[in-house]
Amino acid sequence: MARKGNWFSSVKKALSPESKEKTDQKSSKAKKKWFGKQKQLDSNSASSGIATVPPLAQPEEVKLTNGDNEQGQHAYSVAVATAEAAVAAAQAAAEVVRLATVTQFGGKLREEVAVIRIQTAFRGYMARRALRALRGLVRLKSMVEGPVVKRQAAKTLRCMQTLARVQSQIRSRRIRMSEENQALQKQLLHKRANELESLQIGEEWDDSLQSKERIEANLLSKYEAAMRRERALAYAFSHQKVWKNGSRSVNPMFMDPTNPTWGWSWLERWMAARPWESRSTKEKELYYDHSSVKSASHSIVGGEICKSFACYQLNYDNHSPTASQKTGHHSFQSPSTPRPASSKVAKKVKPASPGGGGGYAPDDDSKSMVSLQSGQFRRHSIAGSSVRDDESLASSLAVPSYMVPTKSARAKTRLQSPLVAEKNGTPEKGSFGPAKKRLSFPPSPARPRRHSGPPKIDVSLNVENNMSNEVGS
Amino acid sequence: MPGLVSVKSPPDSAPLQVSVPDAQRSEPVNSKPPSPLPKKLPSPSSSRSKFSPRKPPPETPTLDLNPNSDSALENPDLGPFLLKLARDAIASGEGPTRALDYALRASQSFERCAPADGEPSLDLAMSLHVLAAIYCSLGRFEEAVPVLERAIRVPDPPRGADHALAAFSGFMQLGDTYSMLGQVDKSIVSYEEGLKIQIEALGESDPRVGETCRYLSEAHVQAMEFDRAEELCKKTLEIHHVHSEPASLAEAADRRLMALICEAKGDYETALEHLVLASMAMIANGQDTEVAAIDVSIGSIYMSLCRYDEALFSYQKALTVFKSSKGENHPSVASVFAHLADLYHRTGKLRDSKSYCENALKIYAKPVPGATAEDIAGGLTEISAIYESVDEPEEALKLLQKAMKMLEDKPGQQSTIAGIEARMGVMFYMVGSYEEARNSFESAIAKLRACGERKSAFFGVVLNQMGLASVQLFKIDEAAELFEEARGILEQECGPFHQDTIGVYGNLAATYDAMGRVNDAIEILEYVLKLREEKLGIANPDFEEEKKRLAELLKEAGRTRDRKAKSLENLIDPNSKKTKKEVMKKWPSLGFRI
Repeated sequence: MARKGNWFSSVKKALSPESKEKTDQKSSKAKKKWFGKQKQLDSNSASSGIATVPPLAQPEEVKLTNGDNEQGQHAYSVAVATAEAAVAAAQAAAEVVRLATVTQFGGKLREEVAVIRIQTAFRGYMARRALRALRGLVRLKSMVEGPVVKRQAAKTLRCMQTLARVQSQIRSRRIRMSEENQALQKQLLHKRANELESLQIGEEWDDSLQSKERIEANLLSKYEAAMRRERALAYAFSHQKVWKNGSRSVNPMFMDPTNPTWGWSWLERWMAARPWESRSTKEKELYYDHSSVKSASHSIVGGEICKSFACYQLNYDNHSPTASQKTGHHSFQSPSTPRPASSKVAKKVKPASPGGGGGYAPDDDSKSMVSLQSGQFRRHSIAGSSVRDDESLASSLAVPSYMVPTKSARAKTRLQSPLVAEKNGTPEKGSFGPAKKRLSFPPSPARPRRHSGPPKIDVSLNVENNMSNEVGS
Repeated sequence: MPGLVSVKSPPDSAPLQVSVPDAQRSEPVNSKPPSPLPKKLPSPSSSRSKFSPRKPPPETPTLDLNPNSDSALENPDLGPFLLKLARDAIASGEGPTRALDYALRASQSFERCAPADGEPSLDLAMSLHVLAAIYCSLGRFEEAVPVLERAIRVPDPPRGADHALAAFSGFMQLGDTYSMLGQVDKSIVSYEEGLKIQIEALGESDPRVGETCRYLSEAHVQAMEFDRAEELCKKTLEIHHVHSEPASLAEAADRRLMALICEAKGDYETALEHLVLASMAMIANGQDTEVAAIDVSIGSIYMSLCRYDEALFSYQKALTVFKSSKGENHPSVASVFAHLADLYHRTGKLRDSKSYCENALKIYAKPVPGATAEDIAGGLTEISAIYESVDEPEEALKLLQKAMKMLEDKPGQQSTIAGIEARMGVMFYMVGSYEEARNSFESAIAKLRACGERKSAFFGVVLNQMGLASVQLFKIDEAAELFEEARGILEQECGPFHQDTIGVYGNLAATYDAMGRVNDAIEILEYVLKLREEKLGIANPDFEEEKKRLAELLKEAGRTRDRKAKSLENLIDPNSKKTKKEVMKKWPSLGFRI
């Protein structure tokens, strides 16, 4: 009993001083319970005014059951346990008192007295247990109100502010980077176009000692790179359009997911890296050793992937002849490219290839056989060789699509210097001229031969061309 | 070959010849990497060109334009044709639904026309990628996932480089799609897979691998997994170091990411170092606005290091550049204002702080064209952080609510929204409206669970906070569950010695106490005290309080001396101590579910 008294005092300390009054029900249900029980136990320990105790317990219980709706399950169980304990304690107290009176009167059986004692002990135990839980609750509450938990809340807040900051930074990083990429790609495209121009004129490697294959490969990769840049530019334009709209949300992805090809940006990135590299090395005029040493070590594989994938994609267009007959044809890589953008691309590239610009980029990827063929017809007829038209018909049909633009390049060189044919005819330039021409072809043993078939009927240069091709292959 | 050519001279057989360059094109590849056989196989044209001689291609597709019959799908030319139609449909703005239909049929056709020898068809993979992209553009990300998962299974990376490329782009696309769905964990798994394939195909030090590493590292940062992010970022730096000249833009971008990671980890000095290097690179490349953006980051680090004057200088410098290059009302100007407000708040100039806040809000209130909802929402949350720290929770709540409304319908923003909700929860908690706090936390936690972000320490902290709100509402059982989960996560993520973990221990012990599980509570408290005594030191003010709580509990359990004697014994006897330690280690995993 003395111990109980101690408990009460500590509970009282934890609670507000006016806790004894039942009027503070509003503050919290749990508190209310404790107070109620406290009172009863108080009376218990005091063991005076016992008769009033049991009736007190009853209303208490009712109130508690009312309260539990608002509180959680546990609060409910605590409340019930408490109430029970309170009742038990009160009754035990009453029993004790009665027992005392009984012993006074001495009319009870010994068994009865024993039962009462056991009950008393048990109820006392129950009451203590409930009280302990309550005091735990009080401790929890005081802890939750304490500085430790305040600190935890502050920490949570800080943690989440960090999260928000980090995420927004990553997001802006990605946006910035995609902007950067676009700018860079645009820049590169222009550079590439210039490079291509100089290539087509045939000045860049005059003095180089590279093998024909190497030169061919270089030119091929340059061409492909140019195409890729072109596509990138188309991307950039289409992307920018979205960007400027402003209504759409910009996502932290590389590409806007509203762009149906956004997933392909990965493909693009894989493929685009290689030409950049070779470009930078070429700029340094180091390209024999670099392309053979550096890129052979690790990036030729990638380059080949690029090429094969590129021509794999090109094949799409060629394998659907009906589609290729459509005039409004878009490249695989930039289906979403708006028309005006692609025409812009074409315009941008055109100045780079004077004379034959139309043939270079009639569409943004210029893979439509039909348009290219017609372009070639036009150019060939400009070149003034009507015999050749037949040949070019056959050959252009026989030539894979990705070759076509380079053929047009050849046509361009012809346009620029109508005397090329004669020049090529001269023996000393023969080794170089055809080589140059062949540069525009991929190292194909089969096609040159095919190509060489008709020329026999044709001009003399083709014979030579053929010969050198044979040597080459 | 020549023979073939001569036979094939009729003009209508044009596509056939395409196979020729293909075959020889792959020759150089064959000469180098492993087996020549797979090289030839992937070329899609070879399979198709086999068909073309039989069926004159130009006619068939035109005839097959509408056929919905199954047999039509078996025409090998139909697939590419349909794919092209799909692309045209998108390009001409006919509407993506139409394109979707075409793409669906195209992939079906490819599926049927798969070569009989079980050769994986890259056509199929590609058509599936396109299909998935169309789904994504329609905002139907959930439907894109199974498509991409199928697409990933098609290519067989060991067969050759183009298979690897197809698989790689499939994985990356899948990762992006997951991340749009907010499933960060899955997206990272997918990216990692893509990176693995790329490394296998290109080698460890290819610049493209570097780029993928950086992307992946960013994804890890977003998922708050800083250790892995740092690892990847270091790798990126190394790769870029090899491939580009010093102080390149690529390196600067890497360093900025590195700085972000270091800052998030609290390693401010290293972060500062990286930022200064990045800034120098940007200056060398003449990127003024980038330099300004880095200045802002440098300012934040100075502020974290309490070097306020330097921070102020950096911010002012950035502000001047932004104002002149982007205009007075650009969100980036507003964001510098917000940083300045924070700085002034910390240095105690509350009036200045307030006016900067208001200026920033003014800019966000009428955004310039081009500013996205995400930008503005980010700015608002930044300002609300200041209000949070100046103890104006109502104002902060208002801003957070506004920001959340902006982000609500945006894809891929789930975790950002969850963060905002959690912050609102804390605000509500501080104001004392626990019911609302609990609801906010509940919704935030549901979102984070859906993200698969349940492992991060951040998630543990939110769980703990929700547990506290539950305690305030007397939902003791719920609170105990939340604390238990938080304990498990924090132990795993931060280790048992972390301040947060110990905080959760304390909460859990008190909750067990209130539930009547005194013994469990005692065990936890004893463990915490032992940690403090042996590892962390007892200077912490929490130590005394915990000791008092334990003493009280022990007294109540009536076994004070008993337990204490035992623990003394343990201290003296190393063997018994060890066994006790083991016991202690065991319980966290088992939990107190008895």
